[in-house]
This record gives sequence, C-alpha cells and structure tokens, in this order.
Amino acid sequence: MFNFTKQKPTSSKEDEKKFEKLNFMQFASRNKKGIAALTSLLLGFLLSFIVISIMGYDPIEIIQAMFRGSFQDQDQLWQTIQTTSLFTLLGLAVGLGFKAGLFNIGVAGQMVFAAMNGYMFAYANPTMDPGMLTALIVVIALLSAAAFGLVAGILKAAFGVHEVITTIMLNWISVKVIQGVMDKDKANWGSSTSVNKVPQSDVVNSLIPSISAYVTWALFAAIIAVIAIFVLFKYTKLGMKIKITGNNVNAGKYAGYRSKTILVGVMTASAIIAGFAAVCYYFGEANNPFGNSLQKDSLSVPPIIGFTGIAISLVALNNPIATVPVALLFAVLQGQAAISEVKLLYHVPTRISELFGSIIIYFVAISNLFIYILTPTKIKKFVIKINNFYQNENISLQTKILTSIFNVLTIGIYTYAHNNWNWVSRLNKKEVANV
Amino acid sequence: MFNEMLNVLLVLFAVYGLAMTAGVVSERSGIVNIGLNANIIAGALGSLIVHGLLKLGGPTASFDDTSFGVDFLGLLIAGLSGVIISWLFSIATITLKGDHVIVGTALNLLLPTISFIVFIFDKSNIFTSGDYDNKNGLIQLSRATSGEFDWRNIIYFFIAILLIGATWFGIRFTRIGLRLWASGENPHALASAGVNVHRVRYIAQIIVGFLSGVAGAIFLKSTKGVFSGDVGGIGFIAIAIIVISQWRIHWGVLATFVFVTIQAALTAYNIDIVKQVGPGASYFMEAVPFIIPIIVLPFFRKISNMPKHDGLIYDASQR
Repeated sequence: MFNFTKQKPTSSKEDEKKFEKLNFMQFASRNKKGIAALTSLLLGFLLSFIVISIMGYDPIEIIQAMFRGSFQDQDQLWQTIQTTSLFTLLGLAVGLGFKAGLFNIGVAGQMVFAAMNGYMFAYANPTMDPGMLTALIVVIALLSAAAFGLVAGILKAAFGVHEVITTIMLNWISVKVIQGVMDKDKANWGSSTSVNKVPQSDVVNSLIPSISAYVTWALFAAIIAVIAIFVLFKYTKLGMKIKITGNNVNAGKYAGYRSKTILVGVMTASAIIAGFAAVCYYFGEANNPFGNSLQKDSLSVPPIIGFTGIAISLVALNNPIATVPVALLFAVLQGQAAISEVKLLYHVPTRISELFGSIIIYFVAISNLFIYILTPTKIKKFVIKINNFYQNENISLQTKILTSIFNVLTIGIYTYAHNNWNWVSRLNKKEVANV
Repeated sequence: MFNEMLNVLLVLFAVYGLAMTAGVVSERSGIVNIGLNANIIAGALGSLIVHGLLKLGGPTASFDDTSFGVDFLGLLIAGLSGVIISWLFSIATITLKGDHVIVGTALNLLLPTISFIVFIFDKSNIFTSGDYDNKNGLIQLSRATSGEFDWRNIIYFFIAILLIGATWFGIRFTRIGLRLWASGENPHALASAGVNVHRVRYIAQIIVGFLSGVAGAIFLKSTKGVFSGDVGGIGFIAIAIIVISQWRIHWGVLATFVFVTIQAALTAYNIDIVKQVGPGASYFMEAVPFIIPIIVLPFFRKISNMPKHDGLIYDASQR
C-alpha cells in the first residue's frame, strides 16, 4: 500500500504534458556550474526573505523599493550605473586573480592604500591645477595599489608564500597605517569621524556634468576593463597561458611558459584594477554615490566593500561579461540610492542591505551541494515521482495522506540510522572474522 | 598603570592564545580556517546574550556587573555558539568539498550580519543599546582597562592555559590527536589505515569552534565601548601568529606572549607614548605583528613545518 515507488509510470501523452510542465527543470548538463551558481543565488534570496520576514519587515516590499529606488529618476539611474561600474571593477579584480589560480583577498587593503597615498598627495599640493591633480591622483593610486599586488605576487612566485596570507596581512597593515597617518596629520585629514575632503576633489570623478553629476569615467574604466579581459581570455595566447598556469602550474612550466612572471603579472594587474575601484570609491565626495567613503567606513577594520568582489566574481563564474549583470544586481541590493529609498519608506535599518550579500556568498561557497548531491536531475526525478503519485486518481485521499506521513517518518529514521547506527555493518564484520 | 597593563596582558593572552591554539588544531587537521574570526564573533555574541539575560536584577534591570557563575556559563555558551558556526564551516568544507578560504571569507562576512539581526530582535534593549539603525551590543564588563587589578583575569588566564595545555597534550600524545595530525599530513594514508578522515576533521572543527568561541567570550571582557559585530580581526592576528610560530603550539604560546606584552604596554602607556613619539605611533606599532610574517616568511620557507595537506580538499576518490 505504501510502496509507491514500484508503480510504473505509464508513458502516455498526459505524462508528456507533465514533463512539459516540469520543463524548467531540464537543464543542460554542461552548464552545471552556472545552474548551481544560479540555484545558490535563488536560495540565498529565499533565505534572506525568510530572515527579513522573521525580523518583522515585508521582504517583497523591500525588494520592490530597492528596484524602484535604483531606477526612479535620472540621477538615481546614473548613481546605480556608477555603483555597477565600481562593483564590476571589484568583481574583475578578484576574477582575474581566480583565472590564474590566485585568490586576491586583499582588494580592501589595496583600495585603502591607494586612497591613502592619493589623499596624502592631494593634501601636500593643495594649490595644484585641478586637471593635473586629478591625473596625478589616479596615477599615484594605481601605482600604490600595484605595489601591494607586486609584493604579494613576488612572495608567491619567488618564495612560495601563499598569497592569501600575504594579502590578508597587507589588508591589516594598510588599515593600521592609514589610521596612524590620520592621527598624525589631523590638520589635513580631520578626524576619522569626519574626514576632510580632498581639495578640488570633485573634479576627480565628474565627466559630463550637463547630463548628471554622476556620469564619471568609472563607467568607461569598467567597460574597457570588461572588454580587455574578455578579449584577453578569448582570443590571445597570453590569456591561454594564464588559464593553463591557473589550472596547473606544473603543466605551464612543462609547456615552457614563464609561470612565475605570469603569476606576478596577474597579481599586479588585479591590484591595478582594485586601484581603479579605489579612485571611484574614495574620491569625489559630491558626485560619489557613497558620499565621503573614507569617513563612512571608519577603517578600524578592512572595509567590507573590498570583499564584495569575491561574491560577484563567484556568482559570475569569473566570466567578465557575466560580471556586469551580477554587479548590477549587487548595485541594486547594496547601492546607496536603493538603501535610502528603503529607509525612507519603511523605517528599515540600513544594514539590512549587507544581509543579502553575506547570505548569498555563503550559499555560493557551498554551491558544490547543487553540483554533486542535490543535482537538478535528482530533484527532477523526485518531483516527477511525487507528482505521479499525487496526481493518480485511483488512489484514495486517505492513502495519500497516510503515505506522506509514513514516508516522512521513514526517510527521517532511515537517514538518522544511516548516519549514526553502523551496528549492522559491525555485525557483518564480526561474522566474517568468525569464519 | 602597571595594574592596567597586567589586566590587559592576562586577558589578551587568554584571547590570542586560545585563538592561536584553535587555528593550529584546524591547520594540523588540514583545513585552513580563515573563518576563525567568525567563530570568535559568534562566541562574543553568545556570551553577550547570556550576560544580558542573567545580569543581576533580571533582564530588565540596568546593566550591572555579573557574578562569576554567569561569567563561566557565558564561556560555555560562547564555546557552543562557536561550535555551531564551525559546524557550518565544516559542512561546507569537509562534506561539500568547498574551497576553504572562500567559505571562511563568507562566514567572516556573514557573522557581523547575524549579530546585527540578533541585535534587532532585542527590542527591549536587554543586551543592546541604541536606536534601530544604530544598535550595538552593550558592554559594561570591561574590567581589563580599569585601574584596579581584577582577580577574575587570573582565572581567565588559567582557564586559557589549561585549555591550551590540554590541546597541546591531546594533539601530541593521544590517539585522536595523532590521527588529527596525520589528517593534515597525508589523509589518504590515514584513510587506508581504516580511519574515517571526515570524522577526524569534524572532531577537529568542533574543538576549533569551542576554543575560539571561548576566546570571543573572554575578548568581550577586554573591550571598551561597544560591540557592533566585529572583534578587530583577532582571528587574522591569530593566523599571523600561527604562521610565525610554524604551526606549533609551544612556539605559538611564546609568540603570543611577546605580542601580547607589546600590545598591553601600548594600551596602558598610550598617553606617555603619544607624548614621547608623537600622535599615530600606537597605530603604527599595531601594524608590526602583520608586517613581521611578510618579512620573516620568505626566509623560513625552506624549514617550514606547514602541514603537507593544508588547505587542499580531501577527496577519497583521488587516492
């Protein structure tokens, strides 16, 4: 009575219709990773929704308000675009490292160090011509970020020190050093709760003020970086070499590549992209959607923005083109336009925006679950089996209810026994030993 | 001044020593636990809740000093909450074979959010203070920075010494400890000897969670001001200490002691240092423990005692 597994599904047109209903589950097997990433993204959203509703807010309304706030009028749209380009740069910085098998966890430190040197230069030359100052700030920021990347890359390539250890240490060094510099030179910096802005700093970012103050060169930097990295890995020899080195350093050496040079170069390039992101994020108070970021982050710990890139790059599977829509999604979730809209309307704490990102990154980190254990085919088969049973009109309602209770109990007891009671196998072993 | 320095020294030695030991256990079992910081935050959060609920005069009373029994219970609950977070970590890394560093980073980002959510639920301000948008954990337990010497700090110190010593003994001389060590060096050999590598690693992560949770609870007693869901990167400093001390607990204790002495002197004599050297000096000094590994590591690379299978994913089918 309870054994519904033995019922053979009759193959008829009705069944085919049912298959069509379930068609959204029929995925191509070669895209397993992408599907797993999407599944974890969806599950992350689901869990965040549940948490938010337990907290006493309406998650659907909040999400709607976030989207509305991001695209409402022209200024907010441009703000969202600028945030998207910032997040794209962050995702590319981490993703480029991943391609060569390097985990650049030090984006935060590279950004802070770049910003520190830029600010110091600007404070030292307050009377310089604005255009010249802008150019020099950008150059100095990029160079200082590149220096951090170079240190990590050389230690990895020449001495075999793992880049994760080096970059984490560099993160904390940069944070402590910038705090010390702020404390030492209070006349220029102000205090850590109200950082002075760079003289003529608004020029750093604004590009076409007639459209909107938020049209900046960050957008163009992001577009160029996306296209350059796409072309690099799609059409050039160097990209292939980087990929092979990333998959297996020994294979790269065997093929005659200068793998050490490649490792150092990729780490430095990744840091330079992080330097670009630093200029977008930390300079130009008036036309920066994040406002005075140096003040907002307060910098007693490495800023969270440096770790956003990891989530973006993981969800986008290191694909430079896919990084853009994922960055847009994160810009909607964590952008200032959306947050202020939500806060204004529903009296919701601003830190709720961190919730989505942090839950999603955990789910993406365990996305192996959806590749190996809860595979789409398994889920599909299971759903079809249950669907067949409950759609069958020959079986009475009572049986269906009893079966479901029985099944839940059996599955629970079976999994518990399977995991915890191995007395059956022990008995078998004893018998073998006696023989 | 000297009393304050002694207070800070005892408490911080307990915190960093326990965190360092937890990290060594984890890396010896072959798992790089960047999420150590997350475990410590979880411990701090757990003990904060216990202190809020069991404070003198009931939950609704204003925050007062708690009895030592409550402190001790706080340590236990902190250990348990650390175990819960390390369980999340071990599911992702051991069973699901996720990348250790990525999962650790995810947990490090998740824990401040979780503590924020817990703060939001505390509507009647039992263990938090502030507005809905600016809610922070309430800490008025900072005995470490007061001018008088506190005998409880000695007890924390000895609890830490006891736990560190027990772990050191266990990891070197007991069966499970040797298995744990082997799991970090060559898990496939361990598996072929008939030992369940996954189980060994899960046990290691439970120890890690407990030790670092206790470290978080003790840390809460050394902080001034508020707890807003981060502990100032203790876990990362602990990792730096592990790397300097070449993955050995006894060298780690020595390195922790040196580091903590510097830290305590900086905290206690901060005003004098600022007068002598100038503003910002203490921040630059705080950067030193992070600079040392970068300088030292390249030279010690050839005699490194790093576990052979550290940070790699164990897959039984690859034997």
